[in-house]
Amino acid sequence: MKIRPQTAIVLSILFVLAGILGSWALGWWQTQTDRTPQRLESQRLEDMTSPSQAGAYDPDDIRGSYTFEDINRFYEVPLADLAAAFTVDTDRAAGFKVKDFETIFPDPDGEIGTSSMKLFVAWYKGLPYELKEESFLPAPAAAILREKAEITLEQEEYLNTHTLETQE
Amino acid sequence: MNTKRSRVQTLRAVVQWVMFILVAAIALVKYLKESGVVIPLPEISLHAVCPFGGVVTVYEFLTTGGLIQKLHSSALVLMALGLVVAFFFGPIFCGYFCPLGTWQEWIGKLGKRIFKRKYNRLLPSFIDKYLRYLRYIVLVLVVYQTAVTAKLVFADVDPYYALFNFYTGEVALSALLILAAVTVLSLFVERPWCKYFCPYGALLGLFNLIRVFPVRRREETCINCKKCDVACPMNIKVSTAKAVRDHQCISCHECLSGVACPVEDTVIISSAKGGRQA
Ligand code: SF4
Ligand code: SF4
Repeated sequence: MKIRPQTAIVLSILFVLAGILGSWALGWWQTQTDRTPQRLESQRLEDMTSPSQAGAYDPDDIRGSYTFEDINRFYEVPLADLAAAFTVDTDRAAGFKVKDFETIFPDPDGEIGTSSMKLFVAWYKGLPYELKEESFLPAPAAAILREKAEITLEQEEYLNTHTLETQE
Repeated sequence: MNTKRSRVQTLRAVVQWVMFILVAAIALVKYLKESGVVIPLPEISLHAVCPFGGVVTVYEFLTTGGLIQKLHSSALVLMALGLVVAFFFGPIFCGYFCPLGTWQEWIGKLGKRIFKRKYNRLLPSFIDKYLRYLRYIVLVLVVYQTAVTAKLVFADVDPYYALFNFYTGEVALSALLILAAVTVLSLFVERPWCKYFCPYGALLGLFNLIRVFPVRRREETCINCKKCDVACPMNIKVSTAKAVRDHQCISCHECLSGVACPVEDTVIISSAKGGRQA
């Protein structure tokens, strides 16, 4: 059977549109950005350090687009601690995005960024987190970790060499 | 010949433009919304409308029932639909819909002006021949790496994502460099990314071996002018084949009668069984 190219194209477009419509009707068509981070339980088992962490969200999945409010919601770190740690005004902390760190820490090397927040949340909550790049923390964040989190000796040593003084 | 020729090519150009603008708009709306601009449109991730996302997450989906980070079920749906279309008509996605393919073609137009008939024929064929299998290695590597890490590893080298997000500050430098290289290479070679590297093109290309409606050439009426060969962006020798079963065909229809072939009803799309294959 011979088929004209126009027919092939129109049939293809109609088929794809019908498929999208059908999958949408069945609830399979999901395009919205899911802002929920992955849970640790779906990670490889060896990443888990204690059974109590199963079901917690993975700090490695913190995204630059997350606001402090998102982090507070998913990881249960108090907004006040987040604001104090990263020297953000308390009244604008809720809507502050992690990727906007560059506006308050205008370091040319970008040393305080999304990975700093991952590190802070992971250590604050005692969650497993593998350091993939050198991350720095502002001095208040390190102070909060020392005061409120159960950090290991190794983590303490890391903080000693990876803390940056901030201008208030 | 001219009216028919313009119809197929015009249709292709329209589809390519619409797809390019649609994808660019999706990326822009997402960027603006994330920047706090209020727009009454849904925020859709570009990964959600890329069928290759479906390919890389298949392993995760089959083993855990979930999807890898940043992906959405729409990518799986598009992948399945794309494969069915390819089973019948070949990689129409590449020839008509893929905006990265379109981008390379647009740059290639400039290359054609510079190099004239030499364009797309600059690489020695013995190198070109083997390089064309590279995309299968890329496909295996990407699927394997994604399965092992459960992360969208391809995003860091994906020129498609870079093309539509270069201004957002969220594109990895590696992806931007690859996009730049593909763009420059397109001045010399037609669709270099598609030919040598694209993992999705590799997968779709395999359907050329079994597609129900391949491009066929009728020997009885062929005048052996080789215009089909010249027109083919993927350098396939249509003029010596009865049925084009080359894994590189992108179903662009440029070789068909009424487009490149000057003889009516000679290079066609047909399910009728043929003899020799290209
Ligand atoms: S081969 Fe890849 S880049 Fe080229 S058109 Fe197909 S999907 Fe797009
Ligand atoms: S053989 Fe024809 S349809 Fe296939 S890529 Fe070449 S010109 Fe396009």
